[in-house]
Amino acid sequence: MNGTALLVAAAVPALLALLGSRLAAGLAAPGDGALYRATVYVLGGAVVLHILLTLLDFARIPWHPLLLVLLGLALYVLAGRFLPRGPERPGLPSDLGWGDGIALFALAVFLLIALTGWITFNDFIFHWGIKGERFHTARGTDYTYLARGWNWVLHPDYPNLLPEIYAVTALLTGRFEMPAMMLQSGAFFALLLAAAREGLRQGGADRFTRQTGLALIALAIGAFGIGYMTAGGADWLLALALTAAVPPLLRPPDRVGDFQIGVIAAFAAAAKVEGVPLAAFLVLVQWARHLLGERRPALREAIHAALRTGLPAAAVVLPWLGRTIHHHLFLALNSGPFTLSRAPGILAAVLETLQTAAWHGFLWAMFLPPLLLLHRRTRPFAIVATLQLLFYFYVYFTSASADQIRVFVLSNFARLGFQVIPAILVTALVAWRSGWNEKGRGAALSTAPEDPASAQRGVLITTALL
Amino acid sequence: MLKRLALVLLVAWAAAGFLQEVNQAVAGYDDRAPQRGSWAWRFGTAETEDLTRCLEAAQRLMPAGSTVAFTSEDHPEIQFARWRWAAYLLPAYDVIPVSDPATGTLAQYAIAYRTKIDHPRAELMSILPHGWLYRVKPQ
Repeated sequence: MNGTALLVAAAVPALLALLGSRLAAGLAAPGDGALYRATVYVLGGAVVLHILLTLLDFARIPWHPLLLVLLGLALYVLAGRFLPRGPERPGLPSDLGWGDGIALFALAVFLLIALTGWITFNDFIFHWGIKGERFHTARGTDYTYLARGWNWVLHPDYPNLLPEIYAVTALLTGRFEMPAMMLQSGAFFALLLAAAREGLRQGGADRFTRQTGLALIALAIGAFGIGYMTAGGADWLLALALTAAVPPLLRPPDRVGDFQIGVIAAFAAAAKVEGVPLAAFLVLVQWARHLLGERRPALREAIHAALRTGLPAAAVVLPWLGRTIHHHLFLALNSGPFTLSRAPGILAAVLETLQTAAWHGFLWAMFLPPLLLLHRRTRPFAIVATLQLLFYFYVYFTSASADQIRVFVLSNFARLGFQVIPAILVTALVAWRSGWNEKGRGAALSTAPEDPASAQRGVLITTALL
Repeated sequence: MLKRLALVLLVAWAAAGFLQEVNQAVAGYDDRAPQRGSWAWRFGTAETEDLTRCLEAAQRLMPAGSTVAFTSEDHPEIQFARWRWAAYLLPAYDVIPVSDPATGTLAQYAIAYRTKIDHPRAELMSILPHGWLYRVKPQ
């Protein structure tokens, strides 16, 4: 693979960020740091891309690279013309420290190894990659191919954001090449670290905790990413989504937080089937925070909040459901009666999986969310994460493919942990360093703003919160 | 102070784990030549390189969009993995396992990897690196 193709592949997340930046008025809170803004912009851009490709599929228009570039450009220009501008751009972080250095090192090592293909996830071969290749060849989501009887192994009912990103990368680089796709995993890792950094900052962690926390997350996730061979898989997207959801879940609910959660939920729902319940939990918890907050909203305000949080996810989930039902893509394997007798087998297999070498013990962190319920500020996140954990276990009790429960749990529990652990570590550090009896509101105000302008905005937020 | 110490120890533990995984990955990459079981197949291993050579030769002889039956002389679990790799390496084709009921009606070509097919409808087209390519005669 030549360097130019890699550069073009690296430009894909940057182009998504540019596209998403046009939603800044909704997606950027005044106190958000530059790196976090870039993260939510990429997520926003990815959701816009997904909806655009879905519309092209509905209209039976092939995904020609020139068409995609022109449409992207048109959306960018039109959004710039008609959508309101976002808040003032913050400067890049000026508080870089040793933890940032370690995180960059872990990211660079992961990326270098990933580019060789040596830590490519089996499922990249078995379904994510081949779907991307196929969509690239077919210049669209190839439902005929997905619906073939022998292609049940592709998980044809899964949402398709990752194969779409692969196909678009291949369309822009001219051909489907594995290293270009592995580069996207590196991009997701980088965005995850940016989101984790922001979660710690907005969570009010002191500088030492921010630096050690970021280093800890980068090293633990990097080790798992390399040792468990995760490059090219969709679990990165869910880990990124949940980590990106931490800052708005730590803040009191507000308009921008609703949009952020809405876009993050849509991104999760477009990424993988586990992302659909995650999206529902994110939307419901954010909405419930409005309804149950100290200032009960009027009906009109509650409806607006529901629309802000729910519409982006609905725009992703409804077409996915429609196409999946229309093409008979749902697998009977995914459902079944609740079989309580599986409990001992599930417990034994989970205990066995907790020893997964590549996690180096950090998989135990998966069970922290119920504890985080005790802390007021982390409670909204803890509810989302706990519900997601319950969903994982619900599948173990019901899925027909889990009849050989040990094999089933061993094949995915460590990866499911990967989806939630980065975000859990961020919130656990926030709770731990601020003390379990902390009252919550306003704790973020101790956070050092990233530039003088944001310091002024911080005062405004402080006033609003108090 | 204790919290700080605990955090530093956690980071040190994570760093040790990270370095261990990097070391294993690099050592594994350096030692990628030997043949291994199907779940150890990765890009660059002997098994996948052999299969790539076989399929690259085959796709020069089959029109894109064809339906191709695939078989290999392996244990069923390995057959499955080999079939999935074949499907990944032939994205422009519909690759069906030879055992699939649809093979009889849909397959236009058949690739036999490290084994031969002896069937009245399978007409040998070409000998491939590590395999054989057949044209499947219509029913």
